[in-house]
Amino acid sequence: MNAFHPLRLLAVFLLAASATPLAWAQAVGTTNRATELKADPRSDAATVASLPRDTAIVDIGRSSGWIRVQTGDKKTGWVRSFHISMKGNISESSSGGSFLGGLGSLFSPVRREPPKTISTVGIRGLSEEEMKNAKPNPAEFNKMKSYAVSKADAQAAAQRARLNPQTVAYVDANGNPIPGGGK
Amino acid sequence: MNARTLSVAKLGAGALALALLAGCAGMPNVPGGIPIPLPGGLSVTTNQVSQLAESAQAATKTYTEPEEIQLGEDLAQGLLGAAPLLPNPGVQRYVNQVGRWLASQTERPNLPWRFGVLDNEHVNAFAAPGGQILMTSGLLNRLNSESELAGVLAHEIAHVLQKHQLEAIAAMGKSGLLKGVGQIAGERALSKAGAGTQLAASAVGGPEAIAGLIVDGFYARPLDRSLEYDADRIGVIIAARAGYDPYGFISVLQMMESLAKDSPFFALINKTHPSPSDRISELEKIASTLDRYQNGDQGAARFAAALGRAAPQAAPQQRAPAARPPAARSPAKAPTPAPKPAPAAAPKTAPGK
Repeated sequence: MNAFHPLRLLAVFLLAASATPLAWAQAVGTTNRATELKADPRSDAATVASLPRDTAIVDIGRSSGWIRVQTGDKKTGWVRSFHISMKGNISESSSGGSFLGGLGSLFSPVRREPPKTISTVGIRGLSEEEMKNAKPNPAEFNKMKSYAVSKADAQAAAQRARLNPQTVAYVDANGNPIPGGGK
Repeated sequence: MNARTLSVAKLGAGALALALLAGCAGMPNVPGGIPIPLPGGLSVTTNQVSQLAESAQAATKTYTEPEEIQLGEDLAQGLLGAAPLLPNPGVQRYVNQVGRWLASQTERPNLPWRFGVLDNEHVNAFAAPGGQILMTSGLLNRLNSESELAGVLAHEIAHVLQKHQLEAIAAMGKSGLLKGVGQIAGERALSKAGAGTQLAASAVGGPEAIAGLIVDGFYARPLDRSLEYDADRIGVIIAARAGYDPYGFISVLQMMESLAKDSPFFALINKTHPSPSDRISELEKIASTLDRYQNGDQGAARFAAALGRAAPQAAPQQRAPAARPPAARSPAKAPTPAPKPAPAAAPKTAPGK
């Protein structure tokens, strides 16, 4: 993106950090085109503000194809997902995101790492180098088989969850239905 | 194609390597070819090897469905040898419920679809031929809803439907990239042939040989970018068919867009996929289709319950990226009662048959 000033983002980040101090991962981004900040996640909702391209935002929520954002001048509203490019994260990476150029170190209230879920096994196993040690593990595969769910049981679970199946054809790269492209 | 044709194909990968070796040595023109000793006191001649290699090239492209499934199961065993399953039966069954429901909406609804969560902090997911799909807990823990999980699984399902990995394996065989694997698989088939037994009891050289594919870097090499875009497009349609909001997958890509550049846990997925930004741009071209199904289910509450997280606050629209407790380590109940409380150790017959 052209001229974008990390310092302009700083105000946004400080705002976000104070608003949600316990968040472990707060995505930040910019508008990738001129767009509108909407009061609700609908294209026919009231327009809160017009946002020029490269407006810095903090991602504070989602609804389908819309992101709830907060801007540097404390405006809150909804922007179409496709109109935002994520630039980094103020808590997970060591630098606060390459986009921040190290300014992330100013955000001490924000946890710097996501919760560790894999305390015993660690990260071993799935880097490119580590995959060179792959050996068959039939015992684990038998376990995987034991967790499999039958088609009928999956359908029953989907009905309990009130999932409503749809008839949708596959589409080509431009969104045109592919003839014979399934149900 | 019958088992015999296939076994020749398997033999071919190793035979190709042998033929190359023989060629490098400056092969004299001996009628009948030069004998090549093999383990177990067997031998094969260079002429036989080159014949086999030709047959192999003709045959590598076509696998029967049982062979495709066997290959995928062996590959899954290899991945599980690199990282074990997350020890949480509730989460494993939940992911299978979602994945199996998605797969049921496709043109291959009756494959033995199985889904597994690997206990690993890297962010990645893998498809193996015939319906074996693995994702890491590092990825699962960064998701926020069932529609996001559906997006991830449906992308991998699309790879299986399109046989992308199967064709990549066939291509590796042709290009001579199957070094170790090819030799092991080839030697096995040769020794069986020498003993006069039925060729290739295992369609593809057995789990050790197939794990060798991973050792040789199978999952560290990218597929063609266009295949990833295809899988993205097919995946969001499958998610919509299953009743999910297809924008869940866009959220996953945006999560990756925000994190991938700076985290070592994204190194491999970065290497093997187009950038998240490019993938999002491709999907924007089909936004009008996605919009038609944007009221599909997001399943944030079910997802949180399944992973043992606190329920999402307020309405889905107000969801903020909240603090996430360590998700999947301690057993959590699936959000819907498990159809059969199958004990973790009891092998089950393949579903969907």
